[in-house]
Amino acid sequence: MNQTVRSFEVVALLALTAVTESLFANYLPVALYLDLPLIFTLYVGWYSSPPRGAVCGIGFGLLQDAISGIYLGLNGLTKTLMGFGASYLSKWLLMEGLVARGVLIGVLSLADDLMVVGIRALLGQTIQLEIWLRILFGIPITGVAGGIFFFIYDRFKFPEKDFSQI
Amino acid sequence: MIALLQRKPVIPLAALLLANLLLLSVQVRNPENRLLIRSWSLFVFTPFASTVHFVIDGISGGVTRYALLYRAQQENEQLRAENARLGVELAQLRGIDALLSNRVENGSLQKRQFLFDTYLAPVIWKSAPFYAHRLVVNGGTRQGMHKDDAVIVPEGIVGRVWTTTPFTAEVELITNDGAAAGAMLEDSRLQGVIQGDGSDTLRWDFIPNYESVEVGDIVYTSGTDRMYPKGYPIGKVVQSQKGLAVYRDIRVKPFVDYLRLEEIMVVVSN
Repeated sequence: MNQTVRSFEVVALLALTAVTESLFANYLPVALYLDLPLIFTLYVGWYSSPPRGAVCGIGFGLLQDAISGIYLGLNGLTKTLMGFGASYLSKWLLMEGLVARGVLIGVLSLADDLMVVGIRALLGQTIQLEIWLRILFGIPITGVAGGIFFFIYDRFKFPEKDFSQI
Repeated sequence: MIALLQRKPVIPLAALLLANLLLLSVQVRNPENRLLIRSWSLFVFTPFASTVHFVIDGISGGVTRYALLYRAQQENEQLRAENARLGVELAQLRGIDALLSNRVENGSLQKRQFLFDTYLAPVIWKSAPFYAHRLVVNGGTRQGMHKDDAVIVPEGIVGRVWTTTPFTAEVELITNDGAAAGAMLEDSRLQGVIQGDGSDTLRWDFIPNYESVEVGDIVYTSGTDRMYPKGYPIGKVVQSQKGLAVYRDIRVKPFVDYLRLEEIMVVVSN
C-alpha cells in the first residue's frame, strides 16, 4: 500500500472535522482545547506532497474558521503553512515513536497558535487571557491526542506485516 | 502544470497564503472603518505608484533639465531680460513718482511719456577707462538699435549708442568727454546740462550761482535732450559751490558703476 492519504480520506476527515467541531462548539466548548483540524492537517500533510498538504491545510483551516465564527482565513492561513511544513518535515524527520510524534505535534500546535495570535494582534484584536489559557492547555492535549491519532490511524492504514510464518 | 507545481511547491503555497490574506482583508476593518483590503492595497500600491511617478518624473525631468538645456538657457535669458526690464521700470517709476510728487494734476497723462521698450544686451568689450569711456554690446540694428539710443541700467543712465552694426553697437558712456544729458533736480525742478569730462564724476553746467543745490541731491534726466527718458536717475551731487563766473561748480557722482557693467539696456523706442 502506498503511504499516502487518498482524496476520499481527506473528505472524510473534513466531514469529521465539521461534525466534531460543531458538536464541540455547541455542546462541549472545553473540547475545543483539542485542535483536531491541526492534527488532521498534519497527518494529511505528513503523507502528502507539500502543495497537497497546503491545499488540505487551507480546507481544514477554513472549516475551523467557519465553525468557530472567527474571521475566515485566520486558521486557513496557519493551517496552510502547517500542511505545507508537515510534508517537508516528513522527509527530514523519522518520527515513528508515539512520544516523538506527540512532542512534534505539540510544538507545531504551539507554532500554529502563536501564528493565530500574531495575526489577530496584527488585525488590532485584543488578545485575552482565555486565548493564552487555551494555548497553554491546548498544546499538551493536542500533542497527546495527535500522537495517539497518528498511531491508531497508521496501524489501521498501514498494518504491520507478520513475516514470522514465512 | 502539476509537474511544475510539484517542482516548485512554493508557488501554490504563496497562492494559498495570498488567498487567505485576501479573505481576511475583505472581512476586517481598520480603526477608520475601512476594509483592510483597501488599506493594504493602498499600502502596497502607493510605493509602486510613487516609484513609477519618480521614474517618469526623473526621466522627463532629466530630459527637460539636461537634454533640453538650451530651453533652460533661453528661459534664463528671458528671465534676466525681464528682471532687468522690471528693474528699469521700477527705477523709472520711482523717478517719475519723485518728479511728479507735487504735480498730481494730469499725472497719468504725464506718465505716458515715460513709457518705453528696452533691449537687454550683454557687454562684450570695454575700452580702457583712461583712453575712452566706451563699450561694445552684443546687439545692433538687427535688434532695433539706432545711433543715439539711450543706454540705461536699473541703477541709472549709462550713455548712448554711438555707432551700430547689424549685430553689435558701441556705447558712449555718459562719463566720456563730450557726452551730455539734460538733467534736473528732484525737488526744485532745477534744470541744466550734465556732462562727462573723462573723469569718474559728471559736471553739471548752467546752474546759476544763486540757485540752491546741496550735496546729496538726486539728479534725474529731464528729457529735454530727447534722448534719455525723463525721470531716470543719473546720480548724486557730491560737490556744489559757487563758481567764479555766473554758474555754480557742481559735480555729480553717477549711480552706475561703469567698470562693473555686464549687461545694459538700450531704449529702443520712446
